[in-house]
Amino acid sequence: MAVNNAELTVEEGRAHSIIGPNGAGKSTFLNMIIGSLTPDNGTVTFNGQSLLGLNPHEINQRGIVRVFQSPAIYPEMTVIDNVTVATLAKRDGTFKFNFLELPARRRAAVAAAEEALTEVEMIDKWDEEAKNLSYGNKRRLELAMCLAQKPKLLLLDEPTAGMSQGDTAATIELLQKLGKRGDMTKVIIEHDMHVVFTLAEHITVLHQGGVIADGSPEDIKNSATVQEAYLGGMDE
Amino acid sequence: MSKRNTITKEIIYMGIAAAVIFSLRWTVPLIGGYPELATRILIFGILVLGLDILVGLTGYLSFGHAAFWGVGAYVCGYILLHLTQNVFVAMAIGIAVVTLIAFLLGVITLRRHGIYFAILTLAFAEMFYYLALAPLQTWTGGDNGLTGIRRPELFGTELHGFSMYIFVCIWTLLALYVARRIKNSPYGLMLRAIKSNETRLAYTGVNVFNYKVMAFVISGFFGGVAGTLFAAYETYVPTESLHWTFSGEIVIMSVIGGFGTLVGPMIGAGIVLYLENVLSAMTEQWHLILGIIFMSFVIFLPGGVMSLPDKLRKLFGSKRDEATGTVKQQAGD
Repeated sequence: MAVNNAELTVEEGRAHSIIGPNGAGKSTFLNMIIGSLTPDNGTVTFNGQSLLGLNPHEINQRGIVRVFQSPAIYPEMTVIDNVTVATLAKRDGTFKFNFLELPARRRAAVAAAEEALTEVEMIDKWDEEAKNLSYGNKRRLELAMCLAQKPKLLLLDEPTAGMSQGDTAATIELLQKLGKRGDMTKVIIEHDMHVVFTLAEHITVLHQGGVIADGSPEDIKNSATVQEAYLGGMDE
Repeated sequence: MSKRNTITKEIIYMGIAAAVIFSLRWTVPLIGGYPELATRILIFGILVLGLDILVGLTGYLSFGHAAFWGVGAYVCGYILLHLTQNVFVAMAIGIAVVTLIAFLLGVITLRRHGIYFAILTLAFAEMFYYLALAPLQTWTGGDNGLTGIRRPELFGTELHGFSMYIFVCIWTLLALYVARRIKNSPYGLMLRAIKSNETRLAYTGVNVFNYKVMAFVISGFFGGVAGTLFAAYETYVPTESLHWTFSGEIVIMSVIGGFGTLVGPMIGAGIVLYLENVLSAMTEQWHLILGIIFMSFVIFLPGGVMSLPDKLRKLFGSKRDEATGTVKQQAGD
């Protein structure tokens, strides 16, 4: 059983981090929120509405957007097209058979994509093929794709995994900048404790599928239970 | 790019396409073909356009397009033979039947991906082939095919030869225009996203299955148009129209032309049909030669004919860089 008796409440507008040793059930937890996995028991509620039984695309349309562990982009398409897909999905919903719509009619969607690219400081690369981007820029692109949908809840699955120190610092800076917007709630799964303690306003610790601690970064840092779970304690 | 520039570019593009399409009847004989070959090339061009929307844009390789072509041809042929010579009525019913079949097949087959999807489409096409061969042979003519189809009529005039050619040219131009509009539409962008990363698109709020089914339906629609035109033009429908090897032949045309480019597969259809015509007059082993030509394209030019300008640019660009490097080195010595 990957997750057992785990309860998590996330406050609107806050940056909430879920941490835990390998195998704690963090990704399983995330997959249940996003609709990839169905829990055997329990509920998943967002803004008072249940998400159980909904498809991933339906969950996205409720305002929940996911950043994957490896940047999930469209490699053969240009940067601007990558983000325009997201803005068009926001505009048209789950399906629209607009197969004869002229390019001129999607100016607003392209403008919204440009705005998102500007926010992540990638507007100068708008016509580059996504597959030619560096790893760090692919992550930025993915963030732009997510931001372009103006999410109510942004789920980040190890956003700095596999990154160099420089790219990690740039990603933290970008996420901090996004954190100043009170309209977006962030749930961040991370292994890098520096990232966690820089970004998180609230931390939940999972261990062996259950919640062992839940509180402010200070509370978690000082928790003996948490230190025991992370063999040898945690260093900031 | 300004709106006026985009419209101007499109008008120029379609103008050039119209000039090429409408002049094909005179240009093909210049290189050893015959005038009627031009009509066949254009009809196949419409079929491969439909396949390219599914394979080139959406990334789903189908070996079942013989079903769309064959069913369209048989339905249209049957109506021309027994009910009416009105070409619009015969084509409309044929296209409607094919579109409905495409919807039903799409809903079933698109629940699978990759090789499993391809095998399912092949299996369904084979099913139609054997239906035409035996259980429905009183309707289809069995292994003799549907013969004696009456020439179609348009506003009281029989369509054949030059008049049929012009009729097919108009359909081809219309098909190319609609295919380009699809590719450049938001719907076309979603299809390209499906090909690139279907999972990401699902997590972006898009009902990927619905988009794929409609791509299959559009593809079938084009196949229906081509099949009905074929029956009207040929006034005969061979049973081989439904065989899976025919599906393979149009995939070969698309590979030679270049998947995803729309006009590339049309050029590929022209190349394959022209070579079949020329080679079959020279030797009985023309299938072998065509196979070698296809293999050469896959090995040396996998992007098809449409990727040739880029390849040449890179080849001459790298040689220019080498020459520049040599000159710089000599200057530095």
